Amino acid sequence: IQTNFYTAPKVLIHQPI
Amino acid sequence: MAQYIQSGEYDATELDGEWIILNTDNYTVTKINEVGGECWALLKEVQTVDSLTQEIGEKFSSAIPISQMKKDIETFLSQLSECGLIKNVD
Repeated sequence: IQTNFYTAPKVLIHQPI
Repeated sequence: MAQYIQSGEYDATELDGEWIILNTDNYTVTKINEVGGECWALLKEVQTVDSLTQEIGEKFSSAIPISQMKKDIETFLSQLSECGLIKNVD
């Protein structure tokens, strides 16, 4: 049973440490 | 068809439906959403856009057409590639 809804995969944050 | 795989063994942690990836090669931290995290987990093995689209389509319910999902995944893969997290497999 699918309980997860699709949202477009996305990079939210990308930053150097 | 281009094939992709993670470019290294990086630590990834799921936190509140988001994934945080620590790249210890170039010292960056990357946060991706839940579907992105599922793609990331699948990319431990060689994947194509089609194989990822199929896996994601089976795991997540969606009203959008497969063609749109495929386009989303292509965009996401190019983002991961820019971040240095995945590489092309020839």
